[in-house]
Amino acid sequence: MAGMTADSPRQVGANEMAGDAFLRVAHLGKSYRRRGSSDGTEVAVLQDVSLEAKAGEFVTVIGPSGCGKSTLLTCIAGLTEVGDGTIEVDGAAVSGPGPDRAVVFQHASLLPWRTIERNVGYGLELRRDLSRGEIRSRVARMLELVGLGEFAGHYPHEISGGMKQRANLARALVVEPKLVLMDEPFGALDAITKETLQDELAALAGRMRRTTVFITHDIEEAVFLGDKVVVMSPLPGRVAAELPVPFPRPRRREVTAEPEFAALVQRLRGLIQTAIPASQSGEER
Amino acid sequence: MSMQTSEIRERHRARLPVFRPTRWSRTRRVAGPRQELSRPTRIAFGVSGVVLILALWQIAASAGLLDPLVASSPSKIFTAARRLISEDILGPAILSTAKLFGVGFGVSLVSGLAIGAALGWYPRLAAVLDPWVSILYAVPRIALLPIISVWVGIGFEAQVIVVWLVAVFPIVINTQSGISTVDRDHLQVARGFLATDWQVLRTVAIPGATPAIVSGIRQGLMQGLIGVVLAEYFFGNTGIGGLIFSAGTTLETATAFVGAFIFAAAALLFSVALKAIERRLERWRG
Repeated sequence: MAGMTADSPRQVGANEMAGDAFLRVAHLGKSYRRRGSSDGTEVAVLQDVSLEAKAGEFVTVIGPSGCGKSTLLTCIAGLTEVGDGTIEVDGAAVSGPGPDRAVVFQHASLLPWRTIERNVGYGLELRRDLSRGEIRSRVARMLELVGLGEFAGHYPHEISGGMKQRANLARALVVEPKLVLMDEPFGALDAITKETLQDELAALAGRMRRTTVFITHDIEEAVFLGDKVVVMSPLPGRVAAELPVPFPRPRRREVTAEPEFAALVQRLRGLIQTAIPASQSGEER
Repeated sequence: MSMQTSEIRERHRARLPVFRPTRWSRTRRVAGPRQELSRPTRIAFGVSGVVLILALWQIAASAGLLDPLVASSPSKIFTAARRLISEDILGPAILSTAKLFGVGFGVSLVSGLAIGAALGWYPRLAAVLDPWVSILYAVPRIALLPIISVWVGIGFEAQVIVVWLVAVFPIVINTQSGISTVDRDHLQVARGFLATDWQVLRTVAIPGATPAIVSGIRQGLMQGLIGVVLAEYFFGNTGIGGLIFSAGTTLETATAFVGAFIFAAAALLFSVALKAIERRLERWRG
């Protein structure tokens, strides 16, 4: 395991939590009732998960499938009830969905009967505190930002998967959340579209400086986008390690060619390998 | 591999046209092996089919191949229609039937949408009422006609109840199933944006249920027409239904056909109108 040499990833404990964290997840635990069990046996999905993000920080969370990454995200979003532990955003405990957080799901989940423009404005519309004109102009600005300006009037079935994911991103960002939560948003895209969107997100994130938690199972993506990478281990999901990424943001694609980048990716790969129990390691490549 | 590239590859293998995903939908239907007809062409073919059958009917009748008492003929039906109009029978009959249908179907539509939405939205309510809906839907509702006449007599009210009894169920059932099957992902998006229950219903459940609701309304309209005829046969012999019924008993086949054609025309009209509404509502499907 890690923790042997000076520059090895530090083990995170709640006692180390600094006071300037914007997002603070402490000792989070979550288990589900086993399906079909009458005796109430439970599966632990998350166990003693602690992590934090400073304001404006881009935290990527990586781990093999089944490590509870998505559950962690929906807990922070307030869409899943927390078992043990606490989640605080900007000093306030999370007890449900809030206007301070917005989620970008893996599936774009655009409403098929709404045009792209009206899909992106959906969150603003539900708030009912903005005029139609204000919504329109904010949405128009956001669509330009994600490169969908020309497609405002299209229906979701008329655009590509990558574009849908841009609209998904725009829908979350346009409500100006303090915390953006992304659940493998590029996971279902082809490699080329994925890289393009990563580049654009890197540029966008650099410009907007929103605190972001980004879930992924793609190691290079985690390093390319994150200020720090949190490695999770499965069954139950725990934080195995946390690594800072030294490259300044915003980053460009060239950074991936640097030896340091490759070394970091290599190290993370090793950490993930050790995090997977032997019985499972055949499943992940 | 992305879905698009694999789909494109499959299309190549199947020698189907490849749609690039940017401007065109990936789910767009591909033309079949036979050419698709344009709308005007289809309509022209449909109309000429009807004209052809009417012409054959007339020729067969004029040539004495058909028993005039049983089969009548287009010209006799036309004459009967003119007589009914000049004797001021047809107009009031149509009005009476239209009123019954309007009131009966109107009540069915409003109550059916409300009941269906409530059942689809509140699972506990549905659990209580589902057996009743199933029983009432399964009973041949003609069997209830004598009971209705015991309760409310044989007047307009009884007729409206008959129309309602047959028209409301398809609307209830389709609306319920449409509303209750909300897409989970869409629901999560709405909840993430703090949507209230009412907002979820308005922005996710109802739009998602629209195809099911429209299909319920279509079935309700057709069932409603049957209900009107049924009500008019059994209760008071009024309107077009009554006209057909009494013409039948006095062997005035041509007059009966006039009534039947009026119902056929109404059914066709509803069908066309609904198609147009459907097309407008479902532009997003492409």
